Amino acid sequence: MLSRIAALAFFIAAFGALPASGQDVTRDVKGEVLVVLAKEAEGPVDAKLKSIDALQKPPFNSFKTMELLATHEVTLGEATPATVQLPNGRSLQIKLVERMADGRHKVSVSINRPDKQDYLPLLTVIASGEPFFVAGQKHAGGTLVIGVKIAGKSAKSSK
Amino acid sequence: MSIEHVQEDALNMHFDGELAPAEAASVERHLATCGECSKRLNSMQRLHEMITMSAAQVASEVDFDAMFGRVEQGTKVAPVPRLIERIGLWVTESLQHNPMRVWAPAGGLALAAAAAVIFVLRPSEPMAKRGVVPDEREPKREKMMVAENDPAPESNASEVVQVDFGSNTGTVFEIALADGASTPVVWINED
Repeated sequence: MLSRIAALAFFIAAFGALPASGQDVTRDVKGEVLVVLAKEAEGPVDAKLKSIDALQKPPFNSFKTMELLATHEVTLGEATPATVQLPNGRSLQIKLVERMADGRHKVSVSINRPDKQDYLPLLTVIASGEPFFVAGQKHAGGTLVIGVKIAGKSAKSSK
Repeated sequence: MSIEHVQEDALNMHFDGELAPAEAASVERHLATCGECSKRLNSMQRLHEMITMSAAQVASEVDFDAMFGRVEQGTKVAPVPRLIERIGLWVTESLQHNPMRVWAPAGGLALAAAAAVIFVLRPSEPMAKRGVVPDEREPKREKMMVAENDPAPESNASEVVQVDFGSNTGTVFEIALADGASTPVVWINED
């Protein structure tokens, strides 16, 4: 009887030491990158962008035209950063820096010119599943608005 | 034949010793021959003596030490009222005579207190709502660095913890969303 209890305790201890499924340190992190060309001139707004709440608010609502140039699904691993080619010839790179205890992910985002390093911002973001935006680059008579959403604990869809 | 007597002002000045020597001598010559003016001068002297004697007598009857003692005692018995007591007295009297003098400042104080409470308790607005929105016409800013490892631990929102704008400039702000959450935005000011 005593040996059974000891075995059960060992089993419980061993099971409890395993990471929970939501904290699987080896699981890749999914993300999504939206590349939008925004202009102040009157024009259409892509239907997919109308549901993104942040784009309907200042300063983005001063853009009367919004064209969704590309949508990229990205996967971030411990040693596998994601790279997205931007229409202005630059590349956007996202690296997973840290899996945080609260379920969020710390990532670094950089925008580089070809053969250049960190020409444009290098930023570190704690992503919770809500999108964040990197905007301001000039392109084709408009402004590039890049939305990045990294899966997190509150990974609810954009409004 | 009429006699010209010494005028009242000149006689008073002579009595006080304020006449010039030549005038005083002229008055003395007149007094030596004029009984009426001498009588007026004697009346002045008697009146002066009576006043002097009376003042001296009154002064001798006053106990100045006791009087100063009573004054000191009075100041100790009646201390200066405290500020709150003076304010209370002012309010009471003002309410009786001019209520607006009380209610107008009281209303102003209440409004100021309410404004201060609202200011302290209001939720922090995103920078974009305060008008801090990126403007490419504004002058270049220095590199903006946000303290690393400084996230709000209970926050569910995405947050920018560090930015290096490289050779560019820019700003970081948040857009408030309808559900109370916020979305961070990094805005690059390209040259």
